[in-house]
Amino acid sequence: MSEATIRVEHLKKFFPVKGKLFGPKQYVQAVNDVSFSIQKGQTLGIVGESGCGKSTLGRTILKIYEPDSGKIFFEGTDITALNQAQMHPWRKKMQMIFQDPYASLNPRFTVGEMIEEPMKIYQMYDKKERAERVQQLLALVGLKPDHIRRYPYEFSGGQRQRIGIARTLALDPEFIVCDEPFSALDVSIQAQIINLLEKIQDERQLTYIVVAHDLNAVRHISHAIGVMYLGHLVEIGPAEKIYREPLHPYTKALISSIPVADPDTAGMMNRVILEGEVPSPIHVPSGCPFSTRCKYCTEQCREKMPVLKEVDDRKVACTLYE
Amino acid sequence: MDALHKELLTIENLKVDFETGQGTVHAVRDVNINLTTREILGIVGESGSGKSVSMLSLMNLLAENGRIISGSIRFEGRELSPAKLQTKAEKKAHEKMMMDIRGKEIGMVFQDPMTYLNPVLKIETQMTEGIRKHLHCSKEEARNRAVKLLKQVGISNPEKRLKQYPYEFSGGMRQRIIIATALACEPKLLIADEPTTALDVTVQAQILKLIESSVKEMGASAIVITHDLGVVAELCDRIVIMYGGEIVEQGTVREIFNNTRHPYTKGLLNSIGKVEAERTPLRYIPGTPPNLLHLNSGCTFCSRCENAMKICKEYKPCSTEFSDGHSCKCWLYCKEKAADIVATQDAKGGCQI
Repeated sequence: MSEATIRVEHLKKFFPVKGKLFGPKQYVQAVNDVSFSIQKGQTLGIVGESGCGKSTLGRTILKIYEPDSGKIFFEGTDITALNQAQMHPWRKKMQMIFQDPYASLNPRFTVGEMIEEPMKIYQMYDKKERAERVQQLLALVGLKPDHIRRYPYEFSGGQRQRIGIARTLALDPEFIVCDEPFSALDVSIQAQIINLLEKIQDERQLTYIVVAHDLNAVRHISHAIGVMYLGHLVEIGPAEKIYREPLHPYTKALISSIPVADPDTAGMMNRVILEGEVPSPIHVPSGCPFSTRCKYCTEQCREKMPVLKEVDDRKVACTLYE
Repeated sequence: MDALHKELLTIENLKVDFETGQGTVHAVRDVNINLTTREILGIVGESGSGKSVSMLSLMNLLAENGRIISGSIRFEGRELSPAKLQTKAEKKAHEKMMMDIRGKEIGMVFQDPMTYLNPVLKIETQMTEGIRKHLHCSKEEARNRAVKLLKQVGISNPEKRLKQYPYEFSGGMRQRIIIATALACEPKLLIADEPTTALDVTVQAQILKLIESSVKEMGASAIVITHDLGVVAELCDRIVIMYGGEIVEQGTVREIFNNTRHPYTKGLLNSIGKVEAERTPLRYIPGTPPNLLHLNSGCTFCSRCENAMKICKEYKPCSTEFSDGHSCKCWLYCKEKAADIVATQDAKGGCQI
């Protein structure tokens, strides 16, 4: 197999929090010992509940946050230790699409200025070529040429997300982290954006990480799915496998909670409704993080964190499958 | 309609306008909704389709620039719409009646559990306020009732929890508290405006089950506003589909899902994706929702509709009735009338012909 576009090994990101004055230092364990790799042209969807560390994972891979330990490889090169200045040439290849299309666009820039800005920073092309590229990008994401002189407030949510995508594509990146790209959009607009992202991926062989809590939207776009719970990756594998026959008890509960838009089967689902809430990421339960809510929990689960093990084309971290 | 299902709420020809700096926004037009007792109705639509505005008008809680222009809202025989009130005294009496209805006979759950509770008041104060006002009971009794309610919605250690502030609860727990508060006076109708949108799926499943069981237990009715068709399929008996401030289709859940009529509803159902097909592009509705400042004279959906005909651009479609209370506003289902109009050319306002 060729070199993976993105490979992450034992990645860890803890945020210190204010604890008691003389007590031990406390940390939010946002990303804890996460490892995976993505091949070129593939999409990895990261799902999980709010606070499980999925957005932090995406940002740490782009080195927006400095990882505490572990390694990040981009096309085989270790980029973990690079400082911000050394990251500069790499950032051209690794871009991000943000969640909120209302907050991620500068209200004082016109659409044209905004899409041109990244190319200016990287001193790519001359002025005339840049103007041409802006037009090409607008056409690519389905906006009109005369939109170039308009300001963000003149656009709807879906159109803004398209502008954000055009800006991201301006540098011809190879890898894009999409942080909840659909969650601020209406259902009919979501489908448009999913199609657009898939079309661009197929044309340019892009690699995506899509972070989302909407399990239906992420299913369509992803080749592989990683499920996170309290900073740990508990299951990762081909998307269809994970949705059809989830193995980890948490994945089972998560997948079965998706409301089914079909009144004929809705009442007959064997729904696993979880009791209680996600524990605080500051006081993660010892052993398996899911042990406090898991109905299969044993003594062993409370003592030792199970490691990700290969089971039937995918990896699961659960003592049931060890 | 049998003995178990009596008429509870009737909304007729509701029309709501908002005055804005750019002109008048016709947020809701010609909305007709019927609700019987022990029924759960789902209102589905995209943002700006008028679903929340219709429910806020029902509670008389519109923003200052919003006004009910015409139409009637009858709740158990009482008129809730202030459209026809003239004198100051009438308006005052009406507001007094609304104060008694809000929270007591109609409970409401709002979308965002993070902002709805007052951050500087204890949960106890917020929960017992309504109970004491509407049920005229002592502090002690109100507190006991609140404890019982919290237990019912699955919050452990309720006596201690009552003394806490909202920031000490997670999103899902706050939504439980809000639902408990809305149910505190045993309302006949519960309105839930996107009750699970801000929550994770696992919590959403818990909350939906809670709404369903508590409404059924009390023998109340509920209106659930949502944009998630999965939520309605699981929870509701009947669905109203809104688009651009109008109802385009309504009927029982099975009718809407299995015999979908309106092109917009079809588009919505398609865009959630039948997941079996791998990586084929999702079918979607092209274009964007209409601007309610500048409406055309015809069907609001015609600019995005793949079946749009010439007549759709100029005349409002009339409503066609199908079996089981299923109705749909689309020219596709009243082609004869459409032909009549095209022939005479002078008929105006489609439905009156």
